[in-house]
Amino acid sequence: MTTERTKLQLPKGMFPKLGKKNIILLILVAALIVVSLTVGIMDFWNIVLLQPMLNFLIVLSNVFFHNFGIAIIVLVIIIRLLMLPVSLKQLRSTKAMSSLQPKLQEIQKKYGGDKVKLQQEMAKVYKESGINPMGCLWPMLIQFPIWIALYQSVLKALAATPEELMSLSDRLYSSSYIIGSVPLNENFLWLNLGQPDKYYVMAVLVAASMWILQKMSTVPTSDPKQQSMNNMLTWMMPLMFGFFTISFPSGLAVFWLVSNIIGIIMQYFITGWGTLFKKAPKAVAPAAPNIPGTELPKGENLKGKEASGGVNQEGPADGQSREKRKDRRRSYRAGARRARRKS
Amino acid sequence: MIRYVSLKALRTRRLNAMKFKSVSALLVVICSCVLLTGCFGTSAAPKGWSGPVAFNGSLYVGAMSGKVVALDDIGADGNHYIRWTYPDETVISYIYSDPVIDGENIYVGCYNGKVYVLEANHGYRLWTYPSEDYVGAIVGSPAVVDGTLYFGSSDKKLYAINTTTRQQAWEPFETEGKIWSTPVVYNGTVYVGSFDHKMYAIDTESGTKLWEFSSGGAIAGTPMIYNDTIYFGSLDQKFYAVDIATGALREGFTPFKADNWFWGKAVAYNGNIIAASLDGKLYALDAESGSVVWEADAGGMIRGTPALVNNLIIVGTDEGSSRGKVYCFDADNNGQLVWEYPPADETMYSIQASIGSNGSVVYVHTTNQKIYAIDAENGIYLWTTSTGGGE
Repeated sequence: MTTERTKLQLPKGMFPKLGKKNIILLILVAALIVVSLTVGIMDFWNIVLLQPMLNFLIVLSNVFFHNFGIAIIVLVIIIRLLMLPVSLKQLRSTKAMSSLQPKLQEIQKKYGGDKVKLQQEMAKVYKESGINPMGCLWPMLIQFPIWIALYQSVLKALAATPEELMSLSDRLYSSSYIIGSVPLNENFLWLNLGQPDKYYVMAVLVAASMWILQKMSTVPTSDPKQQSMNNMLTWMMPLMFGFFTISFPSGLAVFWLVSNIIGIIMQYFITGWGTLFKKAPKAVAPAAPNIPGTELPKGENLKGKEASGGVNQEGPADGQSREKRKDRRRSYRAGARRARRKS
Repeated sequence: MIRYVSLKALRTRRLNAMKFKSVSALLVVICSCVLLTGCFGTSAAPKGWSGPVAFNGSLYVGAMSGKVVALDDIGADGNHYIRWTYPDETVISYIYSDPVIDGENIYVGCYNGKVYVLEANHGYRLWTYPSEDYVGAIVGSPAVVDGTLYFGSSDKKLYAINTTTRQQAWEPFETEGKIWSTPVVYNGTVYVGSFDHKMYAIDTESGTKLWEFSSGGAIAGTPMIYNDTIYFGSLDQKFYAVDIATGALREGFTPFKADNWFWGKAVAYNGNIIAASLDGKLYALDAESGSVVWEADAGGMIRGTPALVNNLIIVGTDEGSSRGKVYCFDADNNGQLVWEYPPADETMYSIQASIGSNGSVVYVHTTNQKIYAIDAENGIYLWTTSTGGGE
């Protein structure tokens, strides 16, 4: 009697091939989850991120003449430098995304009504140009906890209230160099770092620098939804942080301001001034979908703008095709001149 | 029937829908920011940690609700009741200072930068200093001796106010750091610690500095005077003994180093100085040499001043996660644990305030705005009352 053994075969492509980088990343994430579940998420956060940063901040304050304001500035610069490769990756990814905008805009114009086709075409463009649309997300996610830890360490080191000072005692390393210097000197320029700036100068500076950074880093888009979102973020974020600056200790305002200034410098070297001195491209409404109930009565034609989908023909894509036409004309004329000379 | 809609109208509708989505997204951003601020904002909001003070059968405390509260009938029978609160309707500010009773008057320093002087029987306000303006936030308790009110402030100054004229007895004495320490007056000299790491001795008549002693860290705690020596702990984790005449470190005394800061006031018992540290331990140090006679572990941070009832030392702890406990140690028996409250199957909120006592009952002010009365001898729970608004 023969037994028939069947092999269990998984469909091809069910498990995507994992690159070396992804395997390392997965192992790291798994290790982080295991460790944080073992020691407790908050303890893990405190031991691995918050406490080292907080104690380093206090050491910096001691090194820089017991000036906590300078310590904040130096720490922000150090953290920015350490995260430079990740930040550059994010900025370059954003820049690449922005360079794809004309192509994407064209596709949107073409397939705006058919969402499936639109997605397919967009994926195709991304694949062809070798850009991962989520490429700027990972660097951002990696930086996020570090920024929160930095923010928390500035806030905790300030220890503005008696309760905060008491809770600070639990987070300091037992070195007399660190312990002896707490509470920190709160005076910096005209500011008391533990109190909000009573002259509102920092609120204005933080809001203005954040507006510039937002303006520079905004990816130009012709999608009206995205554009209105960008516009709102450009105004809302500076306003919100300006408001926070009025109500939070001014040490945090120093942290936000320095961080924004460094962000502006980095952004300038990667993307230039971005949309800071440019007008955003005009909004392009997606082409009308072919939905029942939207059919036009027989014999009625759409004219003018409506016939072309209400699209304003000005924009980067249109500019590019104009350039192409010019090039074609130029090469035609050159060819004609050569033919004349020969004859 | 097919309904025809013009493309223009359709686009307007779509744009409106987009606008709605954008506004929703914006709302999400704002809510997230608020949440983030809540999560990552100020972790320890100010509440106050005024210790209860028992006097003539009444108990006075600065409640965490921002009011001064007077309780009557505070004995073991549980007939206690609130006699008055000040102010009735509104609140003053956070109160870290223990109330100080001088005759018929109660003095309370507040975080809003004012000292309130109240009438003890009915709780109405007699006067405040400053009357109109504010000085820096007041965290330490005031001291009232011979008609002069002394208090330190976060504006780095020590004030001396004549309680009759309500005017400054002398120009405020300025240090280089905040003064959260309670001043102690002894033999015509006021002693106060500052965040500039120094302990100062100031003449009560003229307000001039007699001497200063530099420690390795900020001094937030209240000094204690015993045998012509001033004992105090510092945020450099060390406990010092300084000669009150010369301002030099007491001869033969080696500063004792704990594993965390000293904040509360020490108590003297039988030739020993008993000091509590934020490392969760109670240290009995030899008053002459500073060597450890015994130590007792309370397991949580001890910020306030312990209560001394006969030979018993009672401390309140903050164990983190809003939990705390009261411990009683026997000073005659090398700090052996006598009792602890609450028992293992119950919980209590953390204690940051000093422990009050009337000689037989101890009063504990917890961070959920409650006063617990516990029998000092055996740790039996007697009663509890809310000072307003707590859980």
